[in-house]
Amino acid sequence: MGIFDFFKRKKRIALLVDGPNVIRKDVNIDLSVVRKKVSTYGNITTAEVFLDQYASDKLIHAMKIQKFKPVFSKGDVDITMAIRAMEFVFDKNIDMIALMTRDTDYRPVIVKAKELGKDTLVLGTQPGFSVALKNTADYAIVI
Amino acid sequence: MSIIGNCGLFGLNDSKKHIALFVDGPHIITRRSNFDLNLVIKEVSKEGKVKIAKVFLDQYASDKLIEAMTNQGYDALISISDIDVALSVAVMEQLFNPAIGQIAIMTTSRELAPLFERVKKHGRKLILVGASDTLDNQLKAIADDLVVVKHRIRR
Repeated sequence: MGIFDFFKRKKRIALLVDGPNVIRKDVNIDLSVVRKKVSTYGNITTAEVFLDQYASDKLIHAMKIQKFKPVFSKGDVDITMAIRAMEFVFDKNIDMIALMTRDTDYRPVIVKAKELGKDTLVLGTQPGFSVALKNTADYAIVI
Repeated sequence: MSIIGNCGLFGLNDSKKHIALFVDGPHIITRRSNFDLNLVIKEVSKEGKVKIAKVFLDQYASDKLIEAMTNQGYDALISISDIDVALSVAVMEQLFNPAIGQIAIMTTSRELAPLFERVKKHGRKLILVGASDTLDNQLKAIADDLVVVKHRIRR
């Protein structure tokens, strides 16, 4: 680390989680581990988890305890999450967009975020973590 | 460059009338239903100047279709998966473009309702485009305006 690194501001990160895609009973995800891994890239200034109408009260409560703000969608969450991500892309107070999803559908968000100068990070689990997403984002983490 | 032409004070800066038009290919261009997309641009142009016209297609779109779209004045954008997110990203980008005052979306898919609501929240005029018998009621209720175009139904 060079002397000037001490003066660099830490990246401000918006972390968005695709609930139905990555938070499943058969996959044991510890969101505190997710936070820790993302925090190596900077400060998480906002953490939101996108849930559909099937999310249980237990899950919603668990998200709040982990300091993830639940955002609810009537149908598929992908459009709601993509719209929110795009608002962060145009937010001058955010430097990095981090998406936790395995779904290729979000690739256009990553492409646009990069075009407009944001850093991008994708996190996902195997199996089924989109190769297109991993190869498009600046950084990819397999949880 | 003309001073008057650049002066918003005299109301001659008409970017409020500039339209970005987005077409949901998989829901609009189907085997059953045939729209003249050139006519769609003409009809939407009655609301203002169409400055952006994009059609979103999936990976099964043929070369002929892509060529036809381009010839009719559209940017044809191909997605390897569901086009909804690609279309939403493109619309969201235009909400932050001061050169565009109106957003027109041609779709029958209620899944795009959150996008419609967000466009309205950003203060842009929202136009729903489609055939009278296929326009979704929820989307109609959110949109500011409707542009109805005819289509041929293949039996």
